[in-house]
Amino acid sequence: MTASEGRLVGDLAKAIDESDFAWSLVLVGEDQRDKLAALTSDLLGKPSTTGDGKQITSGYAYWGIGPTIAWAHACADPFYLVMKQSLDSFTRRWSRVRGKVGSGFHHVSFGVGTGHKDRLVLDHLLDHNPDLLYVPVDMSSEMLRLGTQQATHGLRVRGHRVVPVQLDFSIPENLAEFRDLVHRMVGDEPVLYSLLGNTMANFDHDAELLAGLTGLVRPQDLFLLEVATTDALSDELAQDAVEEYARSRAYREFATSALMHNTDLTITLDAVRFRGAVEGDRALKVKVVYQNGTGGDIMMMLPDRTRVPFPDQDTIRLYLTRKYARKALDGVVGAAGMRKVVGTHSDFPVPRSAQGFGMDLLLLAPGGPDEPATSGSGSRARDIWEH
Amino acid sequence: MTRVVITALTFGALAVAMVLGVSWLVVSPPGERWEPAVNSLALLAGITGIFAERWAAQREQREQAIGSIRLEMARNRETLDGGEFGAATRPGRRLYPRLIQSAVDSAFSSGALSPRRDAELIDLLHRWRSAVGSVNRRLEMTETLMFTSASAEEVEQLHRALHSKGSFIQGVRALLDETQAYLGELPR
Ligand SMILES: C[S@@+](CC[C@H](N)C(=O)[O-])C[C@H]1O[C@@H](n2cnc3c(N)ncnc32)[C@H](O)[C@@H]1O
Repeated sequence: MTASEGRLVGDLAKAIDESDFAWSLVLVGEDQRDKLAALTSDLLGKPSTTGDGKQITSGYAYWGIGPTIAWAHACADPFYLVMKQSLDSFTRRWSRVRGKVGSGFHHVSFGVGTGHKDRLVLDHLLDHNPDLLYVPVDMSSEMLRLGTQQATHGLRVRGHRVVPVQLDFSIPENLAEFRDLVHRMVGDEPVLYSLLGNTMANFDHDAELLAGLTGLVRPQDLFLLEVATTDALSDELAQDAVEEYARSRAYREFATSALMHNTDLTITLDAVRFRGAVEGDRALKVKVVYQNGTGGDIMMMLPDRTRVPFPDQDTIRLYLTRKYARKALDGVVGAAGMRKVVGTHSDFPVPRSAQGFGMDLLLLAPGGPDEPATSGSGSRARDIWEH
Repeated sequence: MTRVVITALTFGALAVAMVLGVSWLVVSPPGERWEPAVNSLALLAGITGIFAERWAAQREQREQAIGSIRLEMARNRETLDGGEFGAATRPGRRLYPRLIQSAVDSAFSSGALSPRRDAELIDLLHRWRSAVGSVNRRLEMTETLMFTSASAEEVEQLHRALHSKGSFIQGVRALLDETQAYLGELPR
């Protein structure tokens, strides 16, 4: 970089830091036209009554200002338990975990959401590293703006040390580029990555997603993962999980908002259906679908103005989520090449909610459970039986 | 030493007798050849009889040995498939059954297998023996830990490690498959 370019960046940083206006410097990683094309093609799926054809994949559910506002509403809805509980109890759970995070850490947050949690994390990290770099990553630029502001407002973090990145982190090539970017910015200094709010559960290939994200982690880094959990797996519990989502109107509004903003469908909240199932021995799975129950075929217009049929009884999957079996978590984490440093669990203290549903917050470090140096208490067992 | 001397003496005497018998047959006048002929034939029968009898005995011994190894492998298969090693067992302190290898041991010590004909089987059985020894030793350690120092959590970890995909037991199962397949192909 030449001296004048260096000056330009320095001046820009200074202007941002000193201005009262809420400037934010955002790195946009992808062409948004490609995103729109991908959303359109996801909505062209074959007819299916079970939510396996047309779909809105994770990320797109939050994409744009409409869904962003709907999400913020849903998070504030006392009937949308998972998020409310996750937000309410985060302070307590984070305080039990944060002691294990040393000083000098930067923070990369995958999926900022409303930014409430990032704020708590940053507050702690800033105590030990006033010069930290905060890199929130989200597919939705509106969500980035909202979340980043909430996360940093009133904290001692300087404007130019906040680098929001608009990127779809479920795409491996994006992650490879992002990894280089982060490592260039922080050098050898440690980074705390986070994937909070059960975001991992929204992906069809959740294990691959986690493995992709943990692929950024170097030995000095840590990874904070938050997931919804269940103590047991059964069809009845899957129904309980369904009810938990079905109860919240604000949640339904959020789930349908991407459809409302990207198609010309007239949305009725009654057409939102929830399908619960047990996914092997690892999770309870809930699909949120929008079903054409009008008794007739509908033509629906997609963002590129093509019209496609939405036949009677056909579905569009709006959202996918899971509650992971607590017993399966070690396996999930291990498969992503990580091991647990500490974990906390908090139960839902709410009556009528199924026993054993809760949120788990895990602090992870690189290294599979098989590494003897880091293997902790299970090591004798493995030493004896490993082939 | 004595065995070699006795064998040498026996076969030496038989050979000399055979040579004498044949020369007797050659030198005796045509009318008197019956006696040396019968004598030579009797000697020949004696010599081949010794080998035939030895060969038959060895064959029988080998068949017996392989038969009992087959049975032993089937027993080990039952052990590995059922009860304590099966997929459905719950974690907890317990004693595990051991894998057995006495038929293999006795086949080796009796020399029932021939190093020339059975080289491959012998190699397989050697590997099997060392695997069984190793598993049994690990089981012993597991039990000792389970009943002395392990916490409930560690008992579960030991149980899980033993049943895990990377467990030593899986290697033993694979070796047992291989051995049984090999034994299955041998003519009965
Ligand atoms: C369930 S919210 C969690 C928000 C926040 N971390 C919390 O715990 O409250 C998921 C967030 O991840 C973002 N997101 C989901 N899929 C994404 C993707 N493929 N790429 C980038 N961001 C994504 C969404 O925009 C949203 O902000």
